[in-house]
Amino acid sequence: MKTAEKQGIFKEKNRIFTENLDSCKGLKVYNEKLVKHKGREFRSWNPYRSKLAAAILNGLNIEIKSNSKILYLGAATGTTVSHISDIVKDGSVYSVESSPVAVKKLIELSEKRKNIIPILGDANHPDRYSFLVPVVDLIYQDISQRNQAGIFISNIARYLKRSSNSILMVKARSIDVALKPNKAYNLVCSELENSGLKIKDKIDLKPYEKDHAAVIISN
Amino acid sequence: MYLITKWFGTFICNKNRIKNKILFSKDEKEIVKKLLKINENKILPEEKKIVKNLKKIIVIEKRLQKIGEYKPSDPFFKKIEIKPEDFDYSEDLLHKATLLLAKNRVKEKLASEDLQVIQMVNALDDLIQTSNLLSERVNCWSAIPTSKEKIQPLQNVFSTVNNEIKSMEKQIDSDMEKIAPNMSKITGPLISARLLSIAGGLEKLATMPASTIQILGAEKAFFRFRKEGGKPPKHGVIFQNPYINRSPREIRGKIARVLATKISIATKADAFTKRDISKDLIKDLDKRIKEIKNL
Repeated sequence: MKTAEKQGIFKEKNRIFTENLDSCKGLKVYNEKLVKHKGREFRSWNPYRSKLAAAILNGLNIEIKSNSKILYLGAATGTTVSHISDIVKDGSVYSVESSPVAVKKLIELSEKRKNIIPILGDANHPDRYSFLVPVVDLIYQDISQRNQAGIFISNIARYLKRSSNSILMVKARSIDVALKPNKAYNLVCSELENSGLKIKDKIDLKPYEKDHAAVIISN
Repeated sequence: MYLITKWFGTFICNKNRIKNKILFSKDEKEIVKKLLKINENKILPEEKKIVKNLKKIIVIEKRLQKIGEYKPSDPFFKKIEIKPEDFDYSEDLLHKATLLLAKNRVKEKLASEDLQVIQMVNALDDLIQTSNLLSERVNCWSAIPTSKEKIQPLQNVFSTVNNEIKSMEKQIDSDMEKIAPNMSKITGPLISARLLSIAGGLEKLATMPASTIQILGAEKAFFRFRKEGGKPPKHGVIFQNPYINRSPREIRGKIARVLATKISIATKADAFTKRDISKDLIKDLDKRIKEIKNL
């Protein structure tokens, strides 16, 4: 068990795990499986629930150090955030979400997880949380908005450290319902490239998620 | 000179150096008070004090436009790092303060009245569905010879549901007239409430274009049109307005368009300026509808 470990992500056959934080032993976030192994506790990471897990299983290769600072846009109720919080156990996840109902759940989560900073805010206006968020090592965005590329670009310009990576989860159906998903991805990619970002990788999230792709960029 | 405000203080910087600073208190409640002010788009007294007698201030927040030049893309802001630990503020304090801040703001946002209306509209739909279901059962049951006692409890529930529908409608009417007086006068409180519920709030509805308001409630038809072609829907929930459903079929699209533009203007007044502009809007609307009908 736990044959391959890479930056806090543990692999066994076709499943992935993160090690639960010490402060959250025995606690589940979204009814995921908890596995004990040699006194350590691991949380199973469901690719059908979390797009980041789907991307990792489809070959996403990205380094997240345990002391990284991460800006997470579109945190929702914190399913993926909780796993990132497991990985960056000595860092911080600045989690921005605009829906008050979702933030309510996020608050519950961050009461137990000290490295999650919940922020009720609109990612369209990076201005409005600049007093809380420092320059970060990675930006992860999962927002189903038509202007998701624009939001991503303005946040990168504002908060991403030089020569760092960022991950954008593109929902093709949000860009244009009438467009073929591949065309929508290309549209987003060219918008990112036009603003001076380099596309490092593009990963389709099939079969875990329909019409979604992860785009990895560096600045 | 650059003015930068962080959660633990406000700073004047120049050439990678911090020239001047005012630190905030180390009590999370005091910090939250300041952060709430920032969220309300206000300039803090500390910020006013620190820029006094200084010229050529560059700021990174739109909020601070009044006391400096707003230049978010200035590379300086990414170069300088003002770390809380350098001033003896811990990550733990940030965590405590942001938790409190988020709790405060969530409470404030969820207390708004339009969320109550959304719940009431949804409840009303549930009640109507239940009433239909029960009425079917009662009719079916009473068609066969049945003793009155057996069917009475169900009939009681049925009439309770019907009474609740009436009182719920009344409640929605009176609430909508308070929350969105302009829109309620133009298209009636119940249609207004339904529009509000689909949009997810008064402010969201007010920032929507009129063309979107026109087809709110007809999403299924609209996306069918976008994906597979065919004809786009002419109206969503605003169809229930007598202006549209009592007009001949050929001009319903035109009237829907006009009505939607007026609703759009009305919601903007309801959400932001809170002025009563309904009389002018109704006059305009009647004029346009007459024009359309006489074409």
